[in-house]
Amino acid sequence: MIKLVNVTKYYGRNLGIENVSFEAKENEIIGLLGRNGAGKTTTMNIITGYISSTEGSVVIDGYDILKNPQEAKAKIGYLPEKPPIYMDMTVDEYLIFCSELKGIDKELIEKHINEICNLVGINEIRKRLCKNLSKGYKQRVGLVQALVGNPDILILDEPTIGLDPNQIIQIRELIKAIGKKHTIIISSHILAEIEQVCERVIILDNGKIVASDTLEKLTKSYDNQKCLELRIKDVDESYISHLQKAEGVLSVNAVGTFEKDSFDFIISYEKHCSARENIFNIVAKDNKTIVIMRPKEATLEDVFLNVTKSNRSDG
Amino acid sequence: MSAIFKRELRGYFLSSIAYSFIGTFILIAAIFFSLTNIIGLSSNFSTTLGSLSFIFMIIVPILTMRLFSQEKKDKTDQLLLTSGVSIKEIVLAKYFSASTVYLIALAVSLIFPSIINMFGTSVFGEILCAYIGFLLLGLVMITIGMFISTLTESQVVAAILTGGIMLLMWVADAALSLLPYNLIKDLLSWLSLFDRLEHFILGNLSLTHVIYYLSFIVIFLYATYIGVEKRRWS
Repeated sequence: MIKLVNVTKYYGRNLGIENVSFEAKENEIIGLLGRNGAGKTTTMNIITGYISSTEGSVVIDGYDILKNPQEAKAKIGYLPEKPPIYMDMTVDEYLIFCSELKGIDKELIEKHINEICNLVGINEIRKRLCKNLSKGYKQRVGLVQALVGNPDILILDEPTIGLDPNQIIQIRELIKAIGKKHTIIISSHILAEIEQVCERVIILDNGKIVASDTLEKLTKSYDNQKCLELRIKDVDESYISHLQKAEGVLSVNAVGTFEKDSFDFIISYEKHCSARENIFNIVAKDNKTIVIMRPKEATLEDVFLNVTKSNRSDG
Repeated sequence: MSAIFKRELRGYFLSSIAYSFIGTFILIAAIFFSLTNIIGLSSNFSTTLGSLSFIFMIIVPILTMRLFSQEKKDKTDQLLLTSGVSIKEIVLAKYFSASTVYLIALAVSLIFPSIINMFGTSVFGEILCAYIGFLLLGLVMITIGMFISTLTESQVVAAILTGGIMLLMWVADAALSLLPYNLIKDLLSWLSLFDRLEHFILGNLSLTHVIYYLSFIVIFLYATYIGVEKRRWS
């Protein structure tokens, strides 16, 4: 449905993205993950044809975005980071304008707008001026705008930004539901959001793809390194230095106090190593008590921190 | 294209821009009409229209400053440029909407020759010719202003630049008579948009002058297209 081949973008002399290549299949939800400035928005702007790439190609359902822009753009609904709303229009006027812009038959416009407004839940604000809407409602109107014309592909740039927790849950559920019939690329730096909504994740860092796979495979690939959650009684943060002495331990993070007179740590250690025994022996030697010691599964957060950290150290 | 045209036109009338534009134009035209035609006891409205050409420096920036700069600043250009509408259509829709407001102002100004006609005699052909020239000059100025609005995200900067460039053109035109006869004078005279208006004011409706203005309109429409397209590549 979407195919990017070696897409590179320079802003003057500054690199935006470099050799970004990936494919999105029909009805697939892909998460684009990265820190601020990693190249997520640039990638999305190139896919939608808002900006042009310096090198490489973007093909949307067989149409090149530069050679056949009208055909390619007709298949895309785009919600940019800042919803492109005209503040001097009411929500209804704005949605009618978007429908006309996308060439929807005039007789079908009203019915179509009713459907998508019901879906996103903005019926109660349709007569209000866009400039008087809250940030959350503006975001929702932006989402409805992306759904106008029922496009096959949805590109959503941080769609839950500015929403309250209830709205975030609603929008995530909505994206999941829409994803059954649409190909969606969603960008976010909220890892939990990507974990909940997406089937496949692409991690960008410094304009390059540093990881791309399903969530399951990504977390498994970092399984050569194990994690432990540890709660020790009668110690504080300074006990890190003791734990670091244990053979096989790669890193120790102080988490905080969750139980009276104890402190929690997260320890990562080499898989094929008896680090757990070594940690136990060190704590026992210090006459301290381990209250909790349990394995911790690798999360997307661990993967994200790992790939972006290693990329930074490479650079 | 019609959706963008309607939105732009509606935007002009919902904000104070259309009213400021038409109001300023009619007010200044009324002052000149009173001084030249009523107090000066002249039935020649063509000359009054000719003296009004400086008005473009004041009113055209009001009309064109927001056309592309505001879209870029508010990021609403993302909607237009990703909707499947071509840049050519966007440029033309915006141009036609600004031109429509200008046409309305010109239509309202017809009240002045009508008053002359009611109380005296006026040569219809002469006034028609002057109006054609004034219309064409205004349409050229709007394309220049529209092109400048693609260069910046700030409405204020776009307005100042547009007004400044028109002032420069007007001053250059006035300075033409001071230049000795040479190649530069010839070139400046050929490029002078205000100088051409004189032919229309004098009742000389020539296809050459009409094509001259139309060429400028096409050139600046194309420059606007390039201005929008270039931003996508920069």
